[in-house]
Amino acid sequence: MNCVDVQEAMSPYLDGELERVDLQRLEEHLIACGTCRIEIDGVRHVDGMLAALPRSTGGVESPGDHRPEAPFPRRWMSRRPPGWVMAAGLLLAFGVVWVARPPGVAAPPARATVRLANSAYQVHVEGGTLLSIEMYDSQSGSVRVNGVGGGR
Amino acid sequence: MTGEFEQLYQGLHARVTAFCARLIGCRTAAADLAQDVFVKAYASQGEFTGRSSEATWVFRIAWNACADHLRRERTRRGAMVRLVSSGLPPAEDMESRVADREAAERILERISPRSRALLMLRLHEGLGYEEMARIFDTTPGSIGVMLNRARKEALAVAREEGIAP
Repeated sequence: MNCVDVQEAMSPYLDGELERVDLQRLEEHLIACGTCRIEIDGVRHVDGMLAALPRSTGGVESPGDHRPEAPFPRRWMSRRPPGWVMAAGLLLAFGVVWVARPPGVAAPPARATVRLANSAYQVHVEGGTLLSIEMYDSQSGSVRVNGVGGGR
Repeated sequence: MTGEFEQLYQGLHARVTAFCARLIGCRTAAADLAQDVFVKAYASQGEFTGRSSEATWVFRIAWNACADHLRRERTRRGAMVRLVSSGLPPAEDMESRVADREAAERILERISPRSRALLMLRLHEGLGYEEMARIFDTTPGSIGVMLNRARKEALAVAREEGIAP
């Protein structure tokens, strides 16, 4: 076996996938050839470093994204529509109630809260003007305020 | 949802997520990608022939998903994604281990995605050549050649960084 053969058989050798006859010939070559020994030692060294890497540290996290691991694939659970869809639905419902109210009936309450999945949405209306929609996410504990005006 | 599939999911989800994270360099995207992998695996259970183990089959789907993701990213950004360590401040007695880890992360960052996948599947997942051949749709002999290339690439980077003999 010459140096080129050793280079070609390097991975099968390191991974224990080499036939016994080839293994013996390769090891005989390594005893005689310092260059191939250095090469294989180098590869072994790098293999060791890569193998020692913890699985959990791969990659970087997107800033501010600390979602808890879902107990099951999210798509198999009932999927919640995006926040903007829910907010739009909420607005629409609010508008229908407002427009359809009988004459002389008092305006709806200035604040209404709707709970959907893990989030609560609070709509704030004053004097017929929509001031804000606030969303509280009980999973992340975050509050997002989607200001929608406020001016009269 | 079958009980067997749920078991498969529980047993492999963390490993597949970690594999994707190593390949694409972003844990958040990797979590989504891993979900897609299992959704695809679940939807295509009928295509599983049993010629390989279920784990090999799932890793094959994961590799394809990551390769697609990287292709899309390359097109979108015109550059390869980053892969860096999480970078917690090291305690003094951990310094050398942390330095080794950072060096290993740098090596992975600089080699090609395919080489990265090959080395991770071999060195982290401990897959044999037969299983890897099914993932990459090739022969065990070709896996030996591909791993040689990947190892040489990694060694060249390690030497450039001054961390290998």
